[in-house]
Amino acid sequence: MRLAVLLVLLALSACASRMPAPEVQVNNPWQANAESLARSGVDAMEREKWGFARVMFERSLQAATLAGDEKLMALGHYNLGRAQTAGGDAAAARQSYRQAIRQADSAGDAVNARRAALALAMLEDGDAQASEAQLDVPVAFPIDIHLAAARLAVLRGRENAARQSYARVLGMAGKDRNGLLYAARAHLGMAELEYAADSQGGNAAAWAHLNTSLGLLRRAGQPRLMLQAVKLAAKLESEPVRRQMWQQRARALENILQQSPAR
Amino acid sequence: MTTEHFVAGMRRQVGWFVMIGLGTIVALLLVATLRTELFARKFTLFVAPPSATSFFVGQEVKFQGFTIGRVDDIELQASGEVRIALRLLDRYRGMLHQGSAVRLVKPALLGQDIVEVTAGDVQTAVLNDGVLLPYREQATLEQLLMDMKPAVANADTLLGELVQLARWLNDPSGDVRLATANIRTVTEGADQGAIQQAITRVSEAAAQLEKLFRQLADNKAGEFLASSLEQTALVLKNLEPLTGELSRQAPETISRSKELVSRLEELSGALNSIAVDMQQLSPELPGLAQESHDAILELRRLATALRQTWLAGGKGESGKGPREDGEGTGTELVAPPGGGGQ
Repeated sequence: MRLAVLLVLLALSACASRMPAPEVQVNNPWQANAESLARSGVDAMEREKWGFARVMFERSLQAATLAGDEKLMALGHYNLGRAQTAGGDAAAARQSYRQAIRQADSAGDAVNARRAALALAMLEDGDAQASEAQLDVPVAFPIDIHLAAARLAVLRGRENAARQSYARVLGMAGKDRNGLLYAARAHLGMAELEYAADSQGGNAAAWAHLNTSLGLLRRAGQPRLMLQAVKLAAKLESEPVRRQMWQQRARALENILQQSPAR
Repeated sequence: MTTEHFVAGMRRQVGWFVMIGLGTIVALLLVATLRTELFARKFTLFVAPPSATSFFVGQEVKFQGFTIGRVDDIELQASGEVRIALRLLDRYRGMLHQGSAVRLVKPALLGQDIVEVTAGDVQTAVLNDGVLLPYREQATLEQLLMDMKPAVANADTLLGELVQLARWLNDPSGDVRLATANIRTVTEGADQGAIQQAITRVSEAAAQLEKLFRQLADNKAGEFLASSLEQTALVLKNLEPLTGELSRQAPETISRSKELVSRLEELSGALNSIAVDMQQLSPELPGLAQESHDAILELRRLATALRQTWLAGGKGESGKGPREDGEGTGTELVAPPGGGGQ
């Protein structure tokens, strides 16, 4: 009996010793630095400070390289490409996107590979066939990739694919400011699609999407998108007096944005 | 005969003297022209910046840090456009491709600007003679300072709120001191030791920050930042007396304290952005800026830890995951859509 108890105890202690030790959480300071710099770059992009964003993304990429984080490196190349595109340096942006694709492919990072491929396809209008393959985005991919796919689909005249991607964006948008802005972009995109399908004016579906987008933009605040929405409203409006009001508002927004940065 | 011999000798000597002098001058000219690449083959590129300020004739043009030519001519055209001619050595032409651009680079906080040419897209053809290159604006110190203003303003607003909260919590005649009943019961579940330790460490980080900001002010670099952020250390110092109060708080006070810690975390986030900007701003103080950045990162980490050990328990730093403000979208590290035609 004692032997049996001893054996049970031994077995239990053996099981206990096989339990894995709790994993100690270790933070890579370079990774944290890369993420912090990337956030600053994203913030600068929001403020339309393309040069500053470029510097931040370059530093972030350096930190990601020092951290040895291949996914963060791929994202760094992509972010740098976005800042270069926004700053008007298309040649450098192409190089960055290509580098992001190579980096993501070598790391098996399908998300960043697709992100960069879509951005590259948007830049290279001539290569329509290559970009067709990019439109079918897996559902699990992040929201920004679905939005990029929707825009590319609009450029390629693939209306159904664009609607499907915009619908996914709306389904994925969170309730934070970022989420509201993505939803506003998707509604605005849908409104533009409806307007293109029936440009006779008085398009109820286009107005519904546009009003939702304007409401979201009033909550989240994004003057550049607001300008785009107001311009569409001026096109959609059939009543002359109201159309003139929309046009005046668009001009006022444009003037303010030309004089000073968005934020 | 003797006189004739003497004159002939003199003539020979003068001849030699003139020959050697001329030879030396020719040799010097040859060396100078070789060194200045006077007769090397060159080609010309043009650039049209919005203003000719910071450009001058003879200014060095660099590529990857090497001098490849000079500014040859600056003219204001009839259309009001500035046109600058860059005379570059032909042997470097193979390195400059389509998509190449010109920008002004400041080598240090002080010193003349350098004109720099970028390589462009290496997969495309090399540049032809006489091509007009695009001009790229480089983020200058002034621009960077302007860029930092929103972040500094944000930090200032948060600091104002923190001052009010800290005063309210430390008021000896306020609710904190008066409401002592049932306090132990309310705070029983809290990890008091961890909270006190965290606040002590926050205070230490604040003291370090205070020192760094003073150093920044002494160095006259980012002076307005130093004065603006000096408050931070003072406010954070005010948190220290709270350590003793935590075990004697009423429920309302606890909720205000939670708010304070939450704002503290937000503030440290804003300061973090400023610290990152400061790294770019102060090339002559890289060590100091890095130290400041590290101190702020540490502050942020501590504030998060403090929230985690707080009475009701807070969420930890989510890192790559969705944001904490409700249902997040989770793209905080990805450049937003829009801008530049996309």
